[in-house]
Amino acid sequence: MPGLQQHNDNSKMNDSSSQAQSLMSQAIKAMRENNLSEAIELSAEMLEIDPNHAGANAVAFTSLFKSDKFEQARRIGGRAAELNPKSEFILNNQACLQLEAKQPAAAAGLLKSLIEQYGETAQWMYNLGLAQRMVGSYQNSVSAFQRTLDLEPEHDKAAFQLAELYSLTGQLELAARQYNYLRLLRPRHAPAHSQYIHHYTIAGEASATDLNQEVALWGERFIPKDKSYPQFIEQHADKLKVGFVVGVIPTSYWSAIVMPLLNELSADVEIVVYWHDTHNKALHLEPDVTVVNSSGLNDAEFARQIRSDQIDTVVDIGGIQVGCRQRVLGMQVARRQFGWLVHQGTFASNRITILDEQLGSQRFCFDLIDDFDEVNGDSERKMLFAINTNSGLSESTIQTWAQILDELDGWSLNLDATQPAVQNELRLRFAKYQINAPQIGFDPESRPNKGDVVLENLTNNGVVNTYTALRRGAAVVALHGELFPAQQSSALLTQAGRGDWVVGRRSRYKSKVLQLIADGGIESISDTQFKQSQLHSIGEYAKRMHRILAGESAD
Amino acid sequence: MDGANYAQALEGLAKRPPSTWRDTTELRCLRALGRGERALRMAKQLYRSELSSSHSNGEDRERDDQLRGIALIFAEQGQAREACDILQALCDNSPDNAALRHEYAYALINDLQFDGAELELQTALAIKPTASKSYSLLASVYRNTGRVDAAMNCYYRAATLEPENPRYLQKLAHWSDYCSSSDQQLNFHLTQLWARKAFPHRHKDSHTWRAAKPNRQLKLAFVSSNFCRHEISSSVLPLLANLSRKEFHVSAFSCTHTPNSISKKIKAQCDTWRDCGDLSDGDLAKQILQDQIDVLFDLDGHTDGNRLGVFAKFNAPLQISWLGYASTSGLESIAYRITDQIADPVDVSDIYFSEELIRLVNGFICYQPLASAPDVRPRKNAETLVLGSLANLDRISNKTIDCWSYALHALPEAVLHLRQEQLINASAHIHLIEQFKQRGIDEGRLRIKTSKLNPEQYLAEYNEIDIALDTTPYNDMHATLDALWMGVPVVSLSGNTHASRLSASILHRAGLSKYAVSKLTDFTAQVCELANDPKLRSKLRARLRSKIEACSLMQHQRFADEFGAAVREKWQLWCEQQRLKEQ
Repeated sequence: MPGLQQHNDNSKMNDSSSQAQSLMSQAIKAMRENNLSEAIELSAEMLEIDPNHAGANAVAFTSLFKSDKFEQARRIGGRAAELNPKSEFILNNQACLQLEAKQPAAAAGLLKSLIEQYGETAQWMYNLGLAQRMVGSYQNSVSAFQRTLDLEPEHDKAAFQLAELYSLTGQLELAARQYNYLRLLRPRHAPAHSQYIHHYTIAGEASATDLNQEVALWGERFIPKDKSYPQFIEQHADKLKVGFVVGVIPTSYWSAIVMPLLNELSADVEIVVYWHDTHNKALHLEPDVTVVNSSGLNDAEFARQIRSDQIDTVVDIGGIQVGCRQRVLGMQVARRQFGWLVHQGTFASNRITILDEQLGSQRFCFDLIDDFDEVNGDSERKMLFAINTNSGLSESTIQTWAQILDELDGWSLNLDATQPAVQNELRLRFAKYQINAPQIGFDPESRPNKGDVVLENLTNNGVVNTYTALRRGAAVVALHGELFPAQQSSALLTQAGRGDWVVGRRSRYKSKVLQLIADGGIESISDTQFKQSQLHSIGEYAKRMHRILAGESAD
Repeated sequence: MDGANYAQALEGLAKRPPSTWRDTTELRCLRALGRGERALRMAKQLYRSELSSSHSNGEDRERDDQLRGIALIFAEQGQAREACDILQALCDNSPDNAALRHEYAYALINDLQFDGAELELQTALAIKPTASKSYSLLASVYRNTGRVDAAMNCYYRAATLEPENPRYLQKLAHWSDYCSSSDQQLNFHLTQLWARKAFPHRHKDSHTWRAAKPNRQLKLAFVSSNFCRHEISSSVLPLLANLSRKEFHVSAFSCTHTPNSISKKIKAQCDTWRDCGDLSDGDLAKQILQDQIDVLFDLDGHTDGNRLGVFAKFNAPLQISWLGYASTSGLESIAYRITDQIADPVDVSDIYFSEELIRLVNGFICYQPLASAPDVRPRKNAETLVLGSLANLDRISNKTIDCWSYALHALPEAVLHLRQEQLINASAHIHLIEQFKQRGIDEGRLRIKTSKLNPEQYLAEYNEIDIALDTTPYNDMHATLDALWMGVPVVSLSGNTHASRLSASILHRAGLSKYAVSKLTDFTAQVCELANDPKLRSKLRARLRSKIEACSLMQHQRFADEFGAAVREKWQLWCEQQRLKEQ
């Protein structure tokens, strides 16, 4: 009997085997003839008989993928790839689907397997770079994108990713260089040029002449000459209507400078905030301030929006970088147009006026919620504090700070960079100057106190951090650089009555820091000085700003 | 003429009745064809008759065009001052003409007036910000005045304005080696972009027929536009003199427009010499094919006056690059590149060359010092310690100034001796001084000389220097060789590019590897070690010349034999490939 059973079983097996063979042949034929629905049905039938059939999984995946049924394809793709480990089509496309489904680790595994088996191609290396970036493995991602460009130097997407990664990890010079390369590949793509200008400026690599030329060229290329609005909107007689175009700005700038001013101004001025930053910031604006999410509008649509909102004065807070709106302002969408706070100190259109200059020596006003009670510093603590390091540092800054540390036996430098990738890069770059832990650290709990010396970034200032350090009673040493982003803190220190902490030359920066340490007993800025400087007289500041926005002089 | 067939245009012009337009067009054709002497004769003649006429500038556009043509020829043919006068007068009459200001700047550059040229170009670009040619010209001003990073930005601007023009990509590839942030990978990418734009239909295989006999006498030919420069002749002359004539017939295709005594010396060492300065790429290629060259050497790379247009096709079965250029050619038709394992360590750099690297065991160059080099003069111990460099300004990058400043900080009594003719220009001078000041080095510690020296005087200058400081990331290889020959030790910072390892290659062969360092702090340490050991310096001063004579740098026969053997091996490989193809 067992023999019969076996015979019967064998007979069944033979039947099902021939049925399976027939099904597979039909499925493959359907797929080859591009009858994809039929191929999907037949392969599904086949998978019911044998879920681990390699060929059926392959046909099902391929047919689903080619029918744009990506989610279904992705669900069986893992198994299909496992059973068909040598199929380029399955491995690559499943990797792409995994990437789209935000499962980068699985995608990276498939791509590595592909590359190991078949060698490198630009496409696979690029996809691997994307997967590794999503995983957060920046160094591997950089290598993969670099390799993509080795294989295909015209791969603009890889060049873009590489530039972004350098920027994210605070490698300013490399980011500027890579954006420069990117614009060779995308010469008519305004953001490639904008991002180059932004990084080139904050890396401190540009001279003022160079930057002016670069920005003028940006305007010449991208601002349409024949599309300016011929007539100004008639100024609102009762209440001035001002549009603030908020680009990518640090959160601290928003909460400490811009938002308090808008709330204060809103009593007398009708305010529209065009919110372009895709990152969500807590707005905390007064209810009568209108907020328009403009990030989805293209420049033409945005220009029409401002015109239809009948804005009298527009203030750009973004300059030339991601989300740059200078094309819109170049079309003269409002009677008065200003650039303020976050810019390069020069604009792509002569239709934009620098508001900061109009404010004169009382340029800043802060409204911070933090507790600013002075805390006496620990006199035993031999520590310097570096601020505005979160976007990375220029080589000149690192070199100068390394020279300072070199002179100070037993001292360390605490940097305020919080991003691990930026911290890693900074560690590597300081190490080139023989500066290693514990000479540098990134302790967020260690903050400057009264009597401490704070080092401001030489090429890319951040006034909120400078102000915070001053309020805590520390001395801040700043270089008055050649370009606007390197002149902000010197303006703030001068406004606060501590122009003596500003130096005009890189070489004097070191001696100023060493001198402050040697002298000891740093005299903090007193409350009287703060009062005189009007650094937190928001009402007065708003009045002056109102006058400028209305076309009058500040004072 | 619009189709750039200038020779045909000239024939056509001869049949036209005399007119200002005809003369101007003829001048343009002669200039485009590189017929400098004839163009100059004609320009002089036209200018004489112009001076005797009663016209004044701005009256007649055709006449102004002719004056511009005359001025450009004057600028290029050694009469730059007159060219400047003509163009200045024209600019005064048409102050808003950007193209005119561009030409004036060009004349000023030819007259080495870089300050004026910079001003004119800034004005031209303010009038017309999209003038790619003006950015390119401004880049050359920046380079000549020691601002290579700014020059690169200008080339980038030009390249983005004319994305299909490979010329600017070539400039970027070339000058990227000089930038502080130089990097082999970027250089490779830029070169590849250039190659794709310049030669979209590149030849990947050799179709040049030659008798594939592995051991027959081979016809070697060297192509260079620099057979007039000591830097080239010091390596080329000993090679040519010592290559076996039984094995090789040696030709030179000289593309220089200014032959001199050095050219004559090289010519004397060649079996065949051809002056090709006036030949187009097509005509040069025809000549090479006609001469049945087996192995063609490129000595120019992407430098000005290069002939990569010839090398982009297979005009010889084997095409090899050597000596004159520090990075890849980017052309698959150049199969090999001659180097050594110090300049290009194995496996580190290979992927960033389109050529296969041939690493000569005893170094990729040899050295023949100037026969009339002055004697080495001992330095007195009591004299101020003098660090020095006679490098061109385009090599004095920010990174170089960092190195030198570190050394000067470590040696507060030392001074830095620099000599460069271009420093006579205020912008160059101010920029250099400012760079040092930013790093805390006072102007008083810099001894800047600007007069032009003859080669003997240039070498004698080393008698004033105790320690030579090399440039980085583009080493001054010839300055290193000359310094060592004059008994002056050289400290060099090496990087990861060929250009930044040139001096390391030389120092290694001279038994002075310790002075080629890879860290800024080590650079200072080595300079200090030499500075603090006067006995060691005296010893080196007394012995370096004989040390160089004894090392592989001056073993000319051995170098030529190794060079020849490497070429023969690659030729035999080519023959084998031909044999396999035929099977």
